[in-house]
Amino acid sequence: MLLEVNHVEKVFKTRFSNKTTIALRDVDFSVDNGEYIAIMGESGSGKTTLLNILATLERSTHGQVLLNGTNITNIKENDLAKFRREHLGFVFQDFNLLDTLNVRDNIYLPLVLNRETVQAMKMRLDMLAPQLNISELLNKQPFELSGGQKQRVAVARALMTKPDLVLGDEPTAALDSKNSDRLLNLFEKINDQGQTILMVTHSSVVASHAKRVLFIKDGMIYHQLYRAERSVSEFNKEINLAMSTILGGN
Amino acid sequence: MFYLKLAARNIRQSFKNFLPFLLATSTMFVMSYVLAAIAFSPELNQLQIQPKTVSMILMVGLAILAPFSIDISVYAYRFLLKKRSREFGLYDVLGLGKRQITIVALYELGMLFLFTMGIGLVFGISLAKFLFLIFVTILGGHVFNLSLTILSILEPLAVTGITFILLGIVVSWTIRHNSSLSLLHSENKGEREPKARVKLAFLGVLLLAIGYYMAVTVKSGETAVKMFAISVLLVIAGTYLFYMTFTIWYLQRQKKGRRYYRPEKFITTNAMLYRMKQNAIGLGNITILITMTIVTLVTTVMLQVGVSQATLKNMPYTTTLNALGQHSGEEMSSKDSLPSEKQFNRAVATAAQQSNVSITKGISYVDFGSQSVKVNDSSHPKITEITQSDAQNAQTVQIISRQTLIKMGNNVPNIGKNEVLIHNDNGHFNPDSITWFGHQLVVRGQTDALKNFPIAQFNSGNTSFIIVAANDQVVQQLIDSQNRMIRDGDPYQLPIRQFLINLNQTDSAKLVDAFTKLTDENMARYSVDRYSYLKETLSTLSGFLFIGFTLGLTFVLGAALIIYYKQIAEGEQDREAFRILQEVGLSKKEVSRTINSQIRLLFFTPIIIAVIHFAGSYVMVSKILTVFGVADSQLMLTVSAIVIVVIILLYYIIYKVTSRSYVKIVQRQV
Repeated sequence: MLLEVNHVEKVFKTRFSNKTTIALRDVDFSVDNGEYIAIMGESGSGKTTLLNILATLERSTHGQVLLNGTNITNIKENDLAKFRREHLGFVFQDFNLLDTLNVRDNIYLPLVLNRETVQAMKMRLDMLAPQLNISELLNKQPFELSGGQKQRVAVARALMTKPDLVLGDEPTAALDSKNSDRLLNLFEKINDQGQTILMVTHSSVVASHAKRVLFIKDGMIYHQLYRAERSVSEFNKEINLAMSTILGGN
Repeated sequence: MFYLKLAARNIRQSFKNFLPFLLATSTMFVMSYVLAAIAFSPELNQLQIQPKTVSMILMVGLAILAPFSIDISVYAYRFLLKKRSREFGLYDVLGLGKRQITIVALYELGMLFLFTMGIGLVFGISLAKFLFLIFVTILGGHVFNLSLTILSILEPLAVTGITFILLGIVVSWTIRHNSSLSLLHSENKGEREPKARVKLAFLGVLLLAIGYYMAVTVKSGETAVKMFAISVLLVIAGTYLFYMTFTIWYLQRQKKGRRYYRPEKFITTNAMLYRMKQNAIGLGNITILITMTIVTLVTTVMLQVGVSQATLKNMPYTTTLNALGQHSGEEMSSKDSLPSEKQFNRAVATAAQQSNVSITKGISYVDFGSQSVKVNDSSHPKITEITQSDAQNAQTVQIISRQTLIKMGNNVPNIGKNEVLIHNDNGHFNPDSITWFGHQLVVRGQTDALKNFPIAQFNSGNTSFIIVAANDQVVQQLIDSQNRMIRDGDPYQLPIRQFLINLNQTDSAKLVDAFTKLTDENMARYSVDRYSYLKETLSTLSGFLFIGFTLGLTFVLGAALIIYYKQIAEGEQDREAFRILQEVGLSKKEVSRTINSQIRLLFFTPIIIAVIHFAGSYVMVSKILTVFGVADSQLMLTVSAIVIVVIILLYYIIYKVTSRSYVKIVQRQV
């Protein structure tokens, strides 16, 4: 088992009052190596909080998260960054490229932080660039790229370290439908090569590209669907059906 | 009317965004006003020493301030505009045409202009009065009063007016040349990596080198004054070019280096490169302002401290009485001009008796004065020519007798009739023999430090030495031969009888008063009471001190303002980088360490370069000071060190205070 999420709970306290908000009630699921999972929910469902906990950007109030058997909720503050850059890759909706670096250096960034040699970085990039169709972009500055190009660069950066798990936070939210499709196809391709991917989204279209969909509402996983041999559009229909019956039923 | 209301509402509602801009424009107005208030004040002419130099310095200050003030206002406005273009974009999307948006923006500017004027005048006038009050209280200067003149308001008004017209052009252009969509997104607009312009980079370094060379090799005080402006301009131009091109060139070279892909270097180099383009001018401004502050403060403090020290050196005794003989007719020899010893002593004694002051400890002697002559560089120089003090190879020479020095309490070895000793006041003259207008003189050596000897104050600041001869008769012969060589226009050297004594303040005043009031005696009498002389000189000089500190304060304020802007601008940028770096895998600690080291580097570069600039100007500044009769290199070192330490401290405080606003912005979302 690559990732085990055991009874995770997250409670937020407002700073000046004793009012508490429960973001995650009791989240419990696991992910196998090579899976492609979408966590689906509406805004306020707690999906971003969950992702942030998996990303070690936030800590859970109760419960455990094990990645390859390591309890990531126990990692010391100072070691978190190192853990993140060695085991996790991130693709965010607003790309999060550094304006100060050109495309190549943005992609190199995690490996530079790992103090790897230039040759190793170059080798890895030479492999990834054609696949992601970014070979021509390497010497440009981020602001010269379109949204779709930026997101492919962000994917390249996420994959550079050969992470155990790629985390996506609404990765297509800032893209038009064409670029969004391209990115999702790319994710499928990467997943076919064995990369485990977990993303959160509110869109059934996006979720329908995944192999398994977890539905989250009010801080709990309510339901899950496997895509199995279904096509994307078939799966999309089923997701929508599940959404309206299970989640939206009021 | 609708647009006017809209503009007013905009300012009211996002006053927080407008505040830093108003701060910038009003501060610039206040600075210009304070400088102009002094520069155009009619009282400036009451400063007895070099009023023209002072007003020239202030005009230069104003001339530097004007473009600088326009520059920082435009910078502040563009910063404001960047934040507000989203709002403008929204208006456009909502159907307010570009023309109308421009009208609203111009109305806003108009109101901001009125605000600036109001705030600026209130603070400008109070600050000028306040500074003046402090100045009067501390220094007791009574000469310099500040009156409100039309001109002193017109100058900053004109500069601010031009600035706002420029801002109007900037905003019209921005709105016209951006689509509504790009206005909506312009907050996140990126920048292309700057190109290194190698030729310009080296031109910058070359300009700096020439400016430095001029400043370091300058010979005399008078040339220093003339060349100062040129070398300052060269260094200013060089500094801007240096930041705009050389640093970029250097950082890009770093990128090609082997160690580029080390985490520390990787992030810092890129961030600096990215910033350098935006902030080169800002860094240049800070550097120049700090340099000017250091130079101004060192100069004024040196004048204040140096002049009193020089006075003590030139007047080792509190009270000086002297006399020249009254002569008639065209032909005169130096002997004729000297009253007899008996006659002079009688006059001094009478004055002492009338004022009831004991003069038993006084010293009476003949001061033969000084003369500029041409001295070749040789171990047997032949001196045959009297010259101007600022001519090439000119040395100022004073001849005194061994007797006189002994009277003053010096230990001087016995010397023969054709033998002399040399005392170097300021220089290294050490020949084996001298031919002095036909007299062969063997140099027996150098004298030790002289005490109690009133060394003439040489304004030119060129090197000078003293020849010590066996007795007054020998000195008289030497002076006579020298005077025979005088041509038309050369200064004639007249010996005077001097009486020196140390007295308390009241006795000194009484003796001087009595000596001046003597009648007859057939001689021209002069007298100096050091107490009143010092008081008078210092009160004149305190005018300079006031101007110096005002200028210094102005420059520091300007630097603080730019630094504040840099911090908030960089905070906005770094907030994003801070978050991204953390997500990619840099720990909070590492990120803040990286960002801090970047900021420190960018922050301390200007002060380091400013100190280097000052070091470059050191020789020139000390030469200029000699024009004012201040030539104490030890004092200069001490004063410079103290001023630099104070400025660094002040700078550090500004850094700490402004970086708090930076940290606040950066941590807002993390």
